[in-house]
Amino acid sequence: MQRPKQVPFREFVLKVASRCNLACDYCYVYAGPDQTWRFQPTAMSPAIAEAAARRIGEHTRAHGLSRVRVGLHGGEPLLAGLATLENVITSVHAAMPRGTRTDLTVQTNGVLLDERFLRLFARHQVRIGISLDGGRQANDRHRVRADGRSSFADVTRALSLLTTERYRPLFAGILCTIDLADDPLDTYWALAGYCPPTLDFLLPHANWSQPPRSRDSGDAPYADWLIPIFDKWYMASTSKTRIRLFDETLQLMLGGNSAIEVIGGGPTAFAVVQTDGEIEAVDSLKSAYHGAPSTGMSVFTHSYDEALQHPVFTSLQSGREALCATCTSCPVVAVCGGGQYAHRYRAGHGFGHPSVYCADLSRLIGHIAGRVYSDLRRPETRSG
Amino acid sequence: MTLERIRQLCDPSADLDPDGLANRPVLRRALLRIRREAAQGEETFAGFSNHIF
Repeated sequence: MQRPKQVPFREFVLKVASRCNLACDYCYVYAGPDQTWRFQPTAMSPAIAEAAARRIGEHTRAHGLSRVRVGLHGGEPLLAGLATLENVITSVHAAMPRGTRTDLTVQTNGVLLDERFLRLFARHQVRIGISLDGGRQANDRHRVRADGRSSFADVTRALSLLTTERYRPLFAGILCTIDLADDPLDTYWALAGYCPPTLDFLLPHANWSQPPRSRDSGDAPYADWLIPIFDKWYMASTSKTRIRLFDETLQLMLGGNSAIEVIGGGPTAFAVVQTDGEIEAVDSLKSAYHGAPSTGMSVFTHSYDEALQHPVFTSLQSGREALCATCTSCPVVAVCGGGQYAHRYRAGHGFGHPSVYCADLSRLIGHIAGRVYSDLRRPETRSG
Repeated sequence: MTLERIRQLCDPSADLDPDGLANRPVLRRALLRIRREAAQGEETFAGFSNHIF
């Protein structure tokens, strides 16, 4: 069988810290089956940062990439501290070929985000994403410290700083993990109140062996939760906040491509580097089984081109060619693309299944298509 | 741009009016992005979902 064409990596996720100052009960890094974080150095050393940066520069040069993204991630990346973060950032910039645009972002829970970090990120034009699940009640249901204390006041203080005139240009957006116990519109309004440029609602990581919570609330409860938000967002006369899942779904429906791994089934073009320098695949695979994203390759010994040949990356880059027969015969696949790779897993059987969120994706996509269809029907064919 | 996916999901015989995209800000923005990416020859790739970029 011919191997699918591989695409170079164009996004690099650097795990600058392997620990977290929160103990979210849904966390796919700490509360899931993969426990490799226990053996990782707490922060990325200068030597590893420089080696990772050199590999990124090498890959960028080899493939003539004009633009790459680098995400600073964790754990909680701010736990790495100012000096480590600045070293990682300057190492990346120093290693990039002249003329390449490098977009740097950091995804933080916001608890430690203060003027010192903001000044650092402003100096290096690092955009900031915040993880927050809604209002206080929604957030504190899961996003708490190890001793159970709330993180909400610290995160909202960080958002107040980030949304001041001086720092707002750094504000990339907010990531929210869905909890069916929260009212969707209350959650949406709570987050939209910060006027984030981008907002996204994430399906909690789950699979056929570890199914989503609350599956007893209807046959597609996550779609039912998202649809009221979609309707408010879609019908609004102005649109200042992009909702990534909905935007990418519309892209796919109108003949474009998705820029996000959760929908569309395009080949993933990013790799992760752990604090010890190991090159790994997307970390959501940690929700499947221990060691699932591991390659055994290191930035000290392997290039990104060599990593691309590892089976975990060839599988992730197979896109729709990796889908099961149920998916390939389904009309919705042109949009859902089989959903997120990690959500297709079943223990002992691998990833050759529809998404555990198949019913939700199908209902949500059908609803969105119906909305667009009613707007695009020519007047003479509209009924009523 | 193709509207085949909308037809495929809703009504294969539908007569769709692409100008209707202009009626909704989010659709207009989606269309502009498709045109921009096509004009610039940008190859969209599936990015990492656990951060906002």
